[in-house]
Amino acid sequence: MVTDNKKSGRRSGKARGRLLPLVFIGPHLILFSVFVLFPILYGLVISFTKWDLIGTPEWVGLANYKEILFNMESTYHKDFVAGLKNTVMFVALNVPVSILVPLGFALLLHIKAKGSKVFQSVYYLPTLFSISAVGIMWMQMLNKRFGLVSIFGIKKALTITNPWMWIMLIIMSVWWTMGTNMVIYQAALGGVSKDLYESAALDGASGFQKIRYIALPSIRFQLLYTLVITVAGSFNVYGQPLMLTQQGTGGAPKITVLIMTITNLAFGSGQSIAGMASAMAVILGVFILVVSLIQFRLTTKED
Amino acid sequence: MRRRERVMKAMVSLWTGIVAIIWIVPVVWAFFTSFKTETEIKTKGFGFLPKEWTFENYINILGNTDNAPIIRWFGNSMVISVTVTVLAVILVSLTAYGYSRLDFKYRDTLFYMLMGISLFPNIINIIPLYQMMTWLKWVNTNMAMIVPGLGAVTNIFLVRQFSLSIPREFDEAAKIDGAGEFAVFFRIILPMLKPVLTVVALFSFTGSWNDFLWPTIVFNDVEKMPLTAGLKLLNGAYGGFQLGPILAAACIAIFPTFVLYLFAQKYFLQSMSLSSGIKG
Amino acid sequence: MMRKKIGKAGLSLCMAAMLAAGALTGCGGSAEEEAQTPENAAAEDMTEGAAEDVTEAASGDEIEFWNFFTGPDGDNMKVLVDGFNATNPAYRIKNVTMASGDLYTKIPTVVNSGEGIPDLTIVDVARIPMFYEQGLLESMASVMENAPEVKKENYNALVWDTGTFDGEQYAVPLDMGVIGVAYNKDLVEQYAPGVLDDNLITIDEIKEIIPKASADGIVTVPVSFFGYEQALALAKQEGGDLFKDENTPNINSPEFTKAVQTLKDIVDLGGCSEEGEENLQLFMAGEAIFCPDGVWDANALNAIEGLNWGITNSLCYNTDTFYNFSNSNQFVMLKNDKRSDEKEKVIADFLEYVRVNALEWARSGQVPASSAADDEAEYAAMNQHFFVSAPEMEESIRFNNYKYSGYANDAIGKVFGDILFGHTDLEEGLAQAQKQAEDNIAQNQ
Repeated sequence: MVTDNKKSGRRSGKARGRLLPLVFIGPHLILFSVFVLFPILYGLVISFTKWDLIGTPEWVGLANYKEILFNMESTYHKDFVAGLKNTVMFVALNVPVSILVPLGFALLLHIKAKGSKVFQSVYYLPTLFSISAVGIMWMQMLNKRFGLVSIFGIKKALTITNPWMWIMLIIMSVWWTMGTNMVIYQAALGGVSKDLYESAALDGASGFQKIRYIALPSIRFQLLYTLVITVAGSFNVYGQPLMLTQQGTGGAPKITVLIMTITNLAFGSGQSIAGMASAMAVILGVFILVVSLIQFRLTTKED
Repeated sequence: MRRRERVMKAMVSLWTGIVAIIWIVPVVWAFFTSFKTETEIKTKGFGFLPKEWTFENYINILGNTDNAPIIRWFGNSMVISVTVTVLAVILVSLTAYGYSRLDFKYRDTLFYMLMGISLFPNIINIIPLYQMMTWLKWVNTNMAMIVPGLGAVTNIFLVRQFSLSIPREFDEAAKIDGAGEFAVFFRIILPMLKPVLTVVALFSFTGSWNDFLWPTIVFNDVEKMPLTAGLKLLNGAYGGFQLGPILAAACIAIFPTFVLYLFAQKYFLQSMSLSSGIKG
Repeated sequence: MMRKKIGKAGLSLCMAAMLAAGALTGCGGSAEEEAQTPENAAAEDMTEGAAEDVTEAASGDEIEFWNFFTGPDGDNMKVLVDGFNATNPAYRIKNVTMASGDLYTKIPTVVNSGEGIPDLTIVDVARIPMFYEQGLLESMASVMENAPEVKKENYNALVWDTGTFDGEQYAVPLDMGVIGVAYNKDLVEQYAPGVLDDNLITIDEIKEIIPKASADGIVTVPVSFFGYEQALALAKQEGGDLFKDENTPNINSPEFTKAVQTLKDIVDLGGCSEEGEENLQLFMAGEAIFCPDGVWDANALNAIEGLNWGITNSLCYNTDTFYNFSNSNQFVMLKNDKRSDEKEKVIADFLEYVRVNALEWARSGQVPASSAADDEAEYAAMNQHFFVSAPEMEESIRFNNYKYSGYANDAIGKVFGDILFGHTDLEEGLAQAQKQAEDNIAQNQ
């Protein structure tokens, strides 16, 4: 990096100014283009074809998209709509909980009351398990015949009946993922100046006011991050409903989300229908992209 | 005032403590159940403490060194995850600095684009990615585990957001004193980003440690696999109904990441108390 | 306002396209500059180290053998592989085990890139016709030339035929994963004495048992577990197959509709477990008399102390005809120019070794396809030996091996539970599955 600096020093200041950002963002930009962008473009091309992942792809233009979006009779249209419905439902339920619950815990831990260090590691712990282990734990907790809930006399099949399956799905998701957002909020809150709290305390501000007027505004950039990532992550949900809402071992999950539909098309037990799967993935991707851009627009406008 | 604060702190302790106890129930169950016999798990109904302690599940996993060289997997995972963590922290801090504190045309638009694109579902991606690995001759090597993930954007986004919340006055003051862009990066911004970079290190390490679809695709060689991919082999398709070994494997797998978390927590609580007072 | 937003999104998409173009053309040049940063220097060192590894692994003195025997059955396969390697073959067998889902995902990835294609692979019988049509499979003719005892006469004839296409063999079967009905001997004595005398459980018998059992809170037969295979067996008794011909699914046929209705009747009468229960666990805990299950679960069931169990034929309408549907793990060679004749010779020796040592594989719980162990006492004492104990059992075994079986299985799997438990109308559900299978097949025409 030192040699880089010298080299550019010989050039005119203006050129140097223009090239400087490349030194910082260039390496990643290349890695991104090769390992992220290229595979996505490849998927985009596949979405215009009929392909079983083995033979030669056959170009079909927009046929896959037409089938998914406009052919009401088609299995792919129905599956897409059903998957999207459940996915959007999951996003709507999971995002607020996955933002507010860890935020609340981060604020409580920020007070540094007795035991907070131990408790925060407990809250973080579930994040470290794989989703299959998490699924097994929760299936066993919620099993009405053999599980924890049986002790409390619960006789409902909690993981396959409405509305319980949704409630349990969200609880399990939050339990599993909360640590991530919590750690981020903790790091963000740790950076807020103590002086601010102290001067607010002198002005007689209540705890709630300190949160509303000092803590939250100070961590707004981090809040935006967690919001965007949690929304996108929720759109890509797959493991949680698959593991939790199966109708017994090997049965089809009660809550089918879009990623399941896509995975089954591409890597199901029949011949792969990769073109259709890719087209669904692209549509979902565009959906996520638009939602993310709206979030960026709405939140950055305030600044 | 003091008294009120003490009462409040006690209430917070109590409340966070109760939640923590509820929170850990499934984990405690999993831990104890990994010491139960299969017969007890399947036939004795729900319970926490084993009626009869057995180390059979652990012996089965750790002792099966031919089919499942778990110590070897452990080492492989360590090499991969440590390398990923070091490279990611360097790359992420550099890139995030570029997208937050340098001024160039379309900076934010470019960044939002990268971010948006990277959120696309990546199910089909393994086909072209594997293709690239064969071109690069990276199949069955750690490179396949380390490099592609460095193209990710989320951690850059995270650090960028932290960097954006550091007031501009810091760099400007330093620049007036004649500091160059690299000096500002290394001496001013990087130290302030330490807490979030610890978080990035934690996320990178656990993310790489827990990744399991990709490693099973790029590794054919059981000897070269990382731990989670290897342990997945133990949850067989046909023998998958044995809960004891699966839970024992899960407990083994999270052990290193949990230790790392404890270190990270200690370090970042420390570095946070050092850096507090920045934002205003 | 609205237009503006679209404008920005449009701009973003343009940027993406530009980026893409840049990435595709500008890659090579910038990569060199890259090497100067510390992380890339480190990465380069690692590439070198890695490259050495590759040459070591690719020296080609091994036969790479992919399989998905990750459970206890993995130990049995390992005994076979180690035993064979101990005979000092020209090439050693390298046993590469992975989860079955991963194996099927890996096949297209390696086939596409042409690199890393295994020499020998285990796949399920349901995939074989599809793989054959896709041109993935190498003929086994050379193997059979080198190992003359690997021939139909030494295997169960029905399973052998699943690998025959146009008179040529493309797969050699390892085993049959027969799905029958497991029974709890103690509970049978208590609630259904004499029912198993003819080795057949008829639907009428089940209906008689249900009131007695459910009075005690005992489940008679959880047909939501491997119930699909029971339905296939029932439909087959009435002459109904899953496909009319290669390209025409027959899911909403009268025979299959009746079969599912029969199972639904059992549910409605209270003979099945409630929705969402862990049925095998129920059976293990001694709370179910019968449980449809595959023979491969034998070791898991044997691990439960005090569980006194056996396995018998699938449910039937009457004692005239009965069928048992089955999976089958089969050896195939995926097409690969790099597989030498010498390697095929060793593969032949290995398949012969596996054929002769069928008993070892029987210990995994499966029914070996080779009949070499049929008369061994140790095998005869195993529960799954039931399916080779008499000619009528051996002839009752059927395979769901149509070219598009996978589509039909997935489509039915999606609605099956909902139909049984009354969330979806029977006829509507099967019509939907039929339509899905048709749509999927149409994608390949």
